[in-house]
Formats: sequence, C-alpha cells, structure tokens
Amino acid sequence: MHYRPLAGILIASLVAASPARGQGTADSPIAQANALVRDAVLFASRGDTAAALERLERATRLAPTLAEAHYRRGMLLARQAGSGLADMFKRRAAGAELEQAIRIDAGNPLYFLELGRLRLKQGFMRLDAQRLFKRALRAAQERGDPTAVAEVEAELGDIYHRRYQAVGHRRLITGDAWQFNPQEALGNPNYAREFLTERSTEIEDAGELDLRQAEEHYRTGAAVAPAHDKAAAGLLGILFDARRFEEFLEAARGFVRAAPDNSRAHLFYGLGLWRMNRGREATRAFDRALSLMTPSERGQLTHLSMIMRKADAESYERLTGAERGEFNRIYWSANDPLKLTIENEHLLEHLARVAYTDIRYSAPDLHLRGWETDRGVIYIRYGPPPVVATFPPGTNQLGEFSDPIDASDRTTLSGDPMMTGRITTVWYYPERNLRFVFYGPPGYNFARFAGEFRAYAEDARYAMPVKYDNVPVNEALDSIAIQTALFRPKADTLGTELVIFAGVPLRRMAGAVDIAEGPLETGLFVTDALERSVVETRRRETVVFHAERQFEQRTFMSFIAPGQYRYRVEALQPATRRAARGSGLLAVDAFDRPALMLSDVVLADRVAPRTDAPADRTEFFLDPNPAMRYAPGDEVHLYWEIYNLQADSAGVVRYEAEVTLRVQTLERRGFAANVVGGVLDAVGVTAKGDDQLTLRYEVSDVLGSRDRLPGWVALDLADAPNGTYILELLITDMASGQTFVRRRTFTVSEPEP
Amino acid sequence: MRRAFVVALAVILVTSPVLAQDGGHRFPRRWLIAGVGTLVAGSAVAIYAANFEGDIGGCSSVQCVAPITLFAGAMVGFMIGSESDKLYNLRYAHAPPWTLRGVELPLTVVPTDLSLGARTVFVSGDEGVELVRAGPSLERLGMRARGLRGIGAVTADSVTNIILVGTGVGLYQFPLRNDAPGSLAYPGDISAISADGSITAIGLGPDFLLARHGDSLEAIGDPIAEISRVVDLVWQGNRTLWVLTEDRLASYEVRDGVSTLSGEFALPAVGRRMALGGDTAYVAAGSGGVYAIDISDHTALVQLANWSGVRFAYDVATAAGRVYVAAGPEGLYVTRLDGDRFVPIGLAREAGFVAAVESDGESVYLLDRTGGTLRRIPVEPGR
Repeated sequence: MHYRPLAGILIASLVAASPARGQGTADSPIAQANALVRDAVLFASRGDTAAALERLERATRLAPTLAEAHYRRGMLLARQAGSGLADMFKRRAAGAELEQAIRIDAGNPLYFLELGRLRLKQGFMRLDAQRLFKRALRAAQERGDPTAVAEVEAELGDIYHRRYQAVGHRRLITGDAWQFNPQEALGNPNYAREFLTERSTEIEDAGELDLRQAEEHYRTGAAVAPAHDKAAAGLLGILFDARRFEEFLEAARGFVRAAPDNSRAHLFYGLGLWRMNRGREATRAFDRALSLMTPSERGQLTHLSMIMRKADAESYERLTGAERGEFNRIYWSANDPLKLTIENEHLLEHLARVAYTDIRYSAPDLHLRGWETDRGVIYIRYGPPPVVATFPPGTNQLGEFSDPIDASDRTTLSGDPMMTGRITTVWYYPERNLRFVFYGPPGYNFARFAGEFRAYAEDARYAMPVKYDNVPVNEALDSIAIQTALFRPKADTLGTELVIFAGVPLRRMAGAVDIAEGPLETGLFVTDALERSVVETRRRETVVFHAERQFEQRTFMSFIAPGQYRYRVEALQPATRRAARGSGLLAVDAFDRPALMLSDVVLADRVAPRTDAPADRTEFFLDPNPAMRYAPGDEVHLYWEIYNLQADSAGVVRYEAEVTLRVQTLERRGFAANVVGGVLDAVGVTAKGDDQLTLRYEVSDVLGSRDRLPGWVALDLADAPNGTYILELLITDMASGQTFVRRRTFTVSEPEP
Repeated sequence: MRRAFVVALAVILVTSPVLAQDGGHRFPRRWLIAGVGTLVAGSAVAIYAANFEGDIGGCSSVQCVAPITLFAGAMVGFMIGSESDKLYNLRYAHAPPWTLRGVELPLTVVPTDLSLGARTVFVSGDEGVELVRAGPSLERLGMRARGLRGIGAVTADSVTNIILVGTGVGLYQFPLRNDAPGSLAYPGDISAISADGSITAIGLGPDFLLARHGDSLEAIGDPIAEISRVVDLVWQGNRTLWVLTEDRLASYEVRDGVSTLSGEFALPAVGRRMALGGDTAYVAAGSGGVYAIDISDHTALVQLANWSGVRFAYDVATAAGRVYVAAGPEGLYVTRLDGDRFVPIGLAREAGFVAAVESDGESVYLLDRTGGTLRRIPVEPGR
C-alpha cells in the first residue's frame, strides 16, 4: 500500500541529511563517498532503492568512517524491512549499519531515532527502542534541534500510547467465564451485551500512567515544534478520546496556526469544530483541508465505497474520477439531513469520522492510513462505539483450553491461533446490537477482525451501510406528512402547478419547550434526478409554542416542468434545534394536451366553495389533510379540477363522476359510504360493499368563462373500519366520451393521542 | 476466580487512598506493596512447607523454594508499587492531594456550565438550566429554559428577578420565581452575559452590547467591537465592566450607558473565564494556565503571575485568598497568590471532570461534567 507521507518524510530526511559538499578534496575517498551518497539520495527519491543501496554500499567501502553513508544505508534497509521473520536478515543488516553510524557519530539524534524505529519492528526489543529514543532525545536537545526533539518525543509518545492501548478499556471478568469468546459473540446476539454488562466490569484508570506519559511526550513535542504533525496528531488523539474537546480545539487551532499549509491540521481542526457543534466553521476547515490535499489523497478521503453496500461499492469503484466526483456531490446532496441549515451534517460527520480514523488508527510503520484499517472502516460506518472493551491475551489461546468450571466444555475457546498473544477489543453498539471484535498485537497500533467478524461486518454493511445516529440533528428529527397535488396552471404560466400540503408537527416540536414563542424556518426543496436544485423556497415565521391549537399546515406552490423529481419539505426551530422533514419522489405530468384531463385529487378535512360558481381552488375553503389519514367517522373531503370538458351549444358541460373505494388492508370486512356534501347532484348517493364500492353521479354545469371545472364531494364513510383504502376517481365527459382517472391512498385509523 | 481475586487485590492496592492525605507525605507504595508481595509469597511458602514431603531434586527443598518465592513476591510487589508511585508523581506533580469537603448533588441535566446568582446556582446543560439553591445543603429548585439548545451563558438579575439565558441564536429571558415560559430578549450569537441590576452586558461573538432591562431588554447604543470573541463579562460595581476576550482582558468605564475603554492586557494564551478578587483579576487561559493580573489601576493592567501547572485551565474562582482552578479531568486545583507567583496548595482529583467553578465568597461550587454532579465546598480560611 502506498503511504505518501512516509515517502515524503523519507525523502525529506534523506535530502536534509545529505552530506555537505566540499568535504575533502575532490578525489579523496571521502569526497567520492559523499558523491555516491548524493547519488543514492537521488536514486532513492526516484524510488530506485536498489541503485541507492548499491551506491551507499560502495560509499561505506570507500569511506568506512563516513557516518552518513552507514546511516542512509541502514535507514533504507530498515524502511524496507517488515516485522516478520522473513525480514530478519534485512533488519539485522540495517541495525549493523545504524549502530556503525552511531559509533562514528554518537551525537546525531537521527541515528538513534532510526535505530529505535528499527527496534520497534522487533516486539521483544521495544524496551531497547525506548532506550534509544531517550538517547536520541538527549542528542537532539544538545543540538538544539526542535524538529528532532519533537520527532523523538512523538516516537516516545507512541510507545507509551500503544502500551496504553493494550490495557485501556480493560475489563475484569467477574463471572465464571474465563475469556471473552468471539465465536460466541458472533453466534449469540445476547452474548456481547450480557458479557459486557453482567460478566465483566471496566477497570477504572487502567493504563493511566502510560496515557499520561504519552500525553506528556506528545505535548512536549508539540510545544517545541508546534507544526510537527506526529506530535500534534498524537496529542489531539488523546484529547479527543478523553472528550476534552475544548482542549482539543485549542490544540488543533495552534496546529493550524503553526502549519497553515498542512491539510491534516485543518482536517483535525474541522473535527474539533464539528464535535463542538460549530458546523459552519467546521465546513470551512474541512474545505480548506481538502483543498490542500493532493488529488490522490483527496480521492481517498472522499471515497464512499466503504459506506455503500458491496455491490454498489463495486459499481462506484468502476467510475472515473470525474464521475465519482459528481456521484459524491449527488450522494451528499441527497443525504443532507436538513437543507435548511447551511452545513451538510452527514457530510461533516463523515469527514469528522475519517479525520478521527486518521488520528487514531493510522499506522505509518505498517503503511496504513486510518480509514484503510478494519477499525477505521467500522468507525466511519457506524461512528464512535458507545462501549469499548479490551481483554488481555489469554493463556488458553492455543486450542488447549478446558474450562475449569466445566471440563467438558472444550469447544468454546479452542482453535483460534490468530488470537494467540493478541489483545481482544470489542466494540459494542447497544442501540442496534452491533458488535465487532478485533484482535491486535500489543504494542502495535493495529487490530483486525477476529475470526468470522469480517463476514459479520459485511452482513451488517448490507443491512446498514452507514449510520449517523450520533449526529445531533438526527436526535430530534421528526417527520412531516406531505400531500402533493398537480394542477394545470393558468394559461399564461409555463409548466405544471405543484402544490405541496405539509403537516408540520408543531405540537410535538414545541412540546416541553419553555419559551412562549420562537422562530420557525420552513422550506421546500425540489431537485431533479441529478440532485440539481429546481425549486428552493425558504420561509421564516414566529410561532407560538404554547398555543392551545397549533396551525400545523403549510402550503407551498410552485411551477415546474414535467419530469421526475425528488422533493423535501423541512422545518427547523433554531432555538431548540428541533427539526422535521418529509420527502418523496414526484412524477410531474404535463397538462398541455387538448383532451380531457384531471388534476390530482386533493384529500381534505373540509372543502367548501366561497362562491356560487367557483372557478378554481382559490375560490374554496380548502383544509387539506397532508397525512391523508382520517379518524373513524371523519368525513373525507375531495377536491379536483377537470380540464377540457366539451360544452354543448348552450355552453353546458356534463360529466359522470365515479368514486370507487377499494380496500387495501382492513381490520374487518364490509363498509358503506354516502355522499354528504359537494355538488348537489352528488349528495345522497350511497353504496355498500365488502371490499369495494362505487359511488356514481352525473353533473351538469355551465362552464362560462372558466377554463376548468372544479369538483368536490364529502364522503361519509359511516363506520368504515380502520384500514388503508384506495380511492379512484373516474371522470367521463358525457359529450366526448373521454375518460380520465386519478387515484389516492388514504388511511382510517384512531387519532394520535 | 483466583486470578480475578489477584487482579482485584492489585487494583485495590494500587488505587486505594490509604496514605493519600491532604498535602501530607505519602509513603512510597513500592515498599508497601513489596512488603505485601513478600507476605503473600511467605504465605505460599508456609503452605508449601506444611505440605512438604521430601526433596524431589532440583530446587524443591523449602530452603531453596522459600528465598526464591519471597524474592519474586517482593519484586512483583515492588514493580506494581513503583508503577503506582510513578502515577502518583505524575498526578500530583504540581500540587499535593487535597481532600474535598462539602456536599454534592446529582444533576438532572447533562451539565456543561454553571453560574452563580444571589442564593441560586444555575447549571446549564443540553436539557435546559437547572436551578439549585446555594447554601450548605444544595436543594434543587427547578428547571428553566427546557428545550433550548446550545446554551452557553446564563446570568440572573436579582433586581428584576429574571434569568437570562444565552444561546447560539439569541438571548432568552425567564422568570426566576416561577416556570412561566420565557421569551426572546435579543437575537444573535450570545457568547457571554453579565447583569448588574440596571445594565446588562451581552457578548455577541466578537462584539458586546450594553442593554437596559425594564419590561424588555433595550439596547443602549450600538454593539462595541472587540478584537476577538468575547468569552466572559464581569461587572465591578456598576461603573466598571471587565471584558474578557480570547485575546485580551479589557476594562471599560461605563457612564450613562456609554462605555469607554480604559485599560487592557494582552493575553499570551486563549482566555476562557475570569474572576475578580479585590485588586486582582484571575484569568483561566486554557493551556496557558492561570494568570493573575493587577487591576488596581484600571488604566494600567499588569501581570502579577502565571501558573501553568494545570494542563488546561477551564475556569477560575477566588475566595478567602484562595484561587480555585477548574482543571477538567485533572480535578480542582487550589492555589494562592503569593506576590508574583502562585503557590499550589492542593489538587482534588475526586472532583471529577471539573469544567466550571464559581464562588460567592463563602462557598465554592464546582461542576463535574462527566459525573453529572454539582458540588459545594465551604471556604475555610487557611485551608
């Protein structure tokens, strides 16, 4: 895996430490060796490590006392070497070179530092690494090199912090269990919860000494070199984990001031601002961070595949860079929980989670960025785990275990060699009973899924690719009932008239609020298939919170071209940060044909004309029912408009209206309806049926100067049982014989308390 | 079970406050626990000796097992004790332990901040403002501002009997005596408030405003621009207003509603909260620690002392010559000012995550943010 910052550091340190020209005469061995070292630096910077090593080897032969040559050769070998057995000889060679460099020049902190890093790759040499770092620190202090001091302090901080990670959140098993069993946690949905709540207790302050020492080292590093990335990130990670957000923010601001061109500094600052609920500033900080990144790094940071289902992620991976950018824009626009706010809370949360994984789970020694790790991916999908627990490596992890309580139980823990000597870390999300178990070696900032938990994570990903439960706006997000209706516009207006009736749950939003009145922001947002804004209407009003009756309906009107859209109606009380949202898909028809056409049928609680011959809905008292939900015994009022009816020579139009009610779901069968209001021709029409009934009546009217004929009826459903009904309105023009039908679905149910 | 017992014993030994006394000398744990380790090992040896049935070769004789076991027990104890000593030294690097006295009250809100009015403590949180009667026994009085989010600053005006609650969208006022609904008094991002009975000072981000309180809040003149965000406001009498911003402490003389800058002190760190004690202003300045500033001459503010023993100073209060510093997860530091330096008196770690501290001269009130409690400690001169 490519790790750009590491390569950068390597090249920078090679260049910074390149030997001064002019040491010795041009043809002296020292001068020749120096020339070879310079060549090696060039080759290394181009990525040709083999050529670099070959030149460095020649340089060490030519000038065995040239410490720089040994150092560089040792560093290159060390950086190539992993921590496995296969690289043992490479590590040994690197160690020999670095030790030689130290023998020649014991005052150079970089030599100790590099040797210490090499020792870290050998688990049992970690104490020696610490000793070497302390020597490096002394050397750096003696030289007065703040960057080297910070570098060493950060390494020391890492050592202590990794020790802490091995014991932090440590649980003491109090029940008869011997060890947390990942297999059981996988198969038994109650196991993790029970184990964490009933069979173990957290040891308070476990690892505090290491944590404090880590903080001291990071803090000192950041103090001597405020722009030092690793020291700052280490300190910020500790502050964040301890929820010391005020301190985090101040430290992050200091980091930004010291390193204004460091994208990570802005990223971490954005994380702090977002956790302090300062969304607008967080947006600016994240934007700045992204603008400072290379396209490749930006691409990694904004990559969405990890929060998609696997199949979707595969399609996403096949997109070109430009297509992916456009997809990201559409994705985040569609996933903005509230368009009324300036910031996109879910995008900010996503970036904050990615930033956190970069602080906490990045492992430069393993060439991993935080978001590439198992823990990082789960964190980005589901946010901070509410419960974290660690368990020490057991003595029974070689498959030789027999439970001391129940000797016959030999299966519970046996046979997972991956667990041997590893720390077991459990992340538990109680709300959704999600649990993830990781194994990681002590002393390394690395852990991966235990056993079959990778497959479990994939299953969870399919069911729930991402969740933003921890975002404050979602905690108090209510729903808005919406009824949309399309009408033909007036002759001089283009498009189709879209009317949205919204039921804003003001009573719920104002419940248990101690202020008499306050502002309410509402908005309609209509976007096309590519999430481009088509309609955006925002309003602000003052509402009385403690009113006995709340007028909850809000109506939005707009003209819109035929097509497919997504709409949203939102409401927000800025003072209480309570919000509500309703959304849906919208297919907008054209009303431009000369044939008989019908508007949508509006379901209302009351429809009554204001005049004897109303021309359109503006001449009605119309009390819509946005939820399309009626209490048993309520009258169902309908309103519609008929376009292009053919009048006879006397200017009279005649049509037949056929209202069919079909049961979709019903608690008991059999119901009846009769028309109790509306056009006079309809009143008194009755019908009965088991699961369907039809009311039919004819209407004659003089069209006059009107360009449409409004229709309305009030249905008494008598004792219609609770259930869901499909209402179908069929209009037949008696003159032309043309027909047009519209449907609605409504519900009869007991009213909410 | 045996292992759990051993671990529990170790935890108890390491964390027990047996010898942690108010500023007293602490016997090094490494010797104490080494002794315990030796005793435990000795018990094991005694059991071994009692059941010894004959030498089976190697080091199986009591003469061989005993010294090795005793040495191992002592060493394990010594190492555990050494870790404990190191932790103790880190925790109390800047002040010795200080035992908290007084009473505490579990809060119903998830607390974020506290402020003090006449006989009432106001604890703000996500659920509103909880009112607690100040005094020897803390008594819950009720809730105000339920439902308001983002509460940042709270103050009470005892003359008009109202509570002013600042949020990110405006300043709201509530009656102090009953729980009738409140109303918006002034819109804006309210960063600080202070009421003196006749004039209320309101921090509006990087500005502040003076307002007169009658039936409603009436602004006096235009907002006055500061150089950075106003984080705290304190009236000294009714003619001097202290304005703490993130970058400076400034004094304003207020005459007939007109405020004039009379002096300023540029802070080397980020200002957070302040407290007045006689001729000294104390400023909690986050990672910069605590500053004591001589304010005897309002036109020439002079730094007296700075103490950065605290990792991060969240808040500060003063009473009876003591300076109380809210140190977040470290607890509460108690110090005193001695000429040009702070002298640390003690650190109360059991205070929890102390995010805010206030004093009325007789008591100090502290807020434990993670424990969700309000604690009152009596001011005891000399302690």
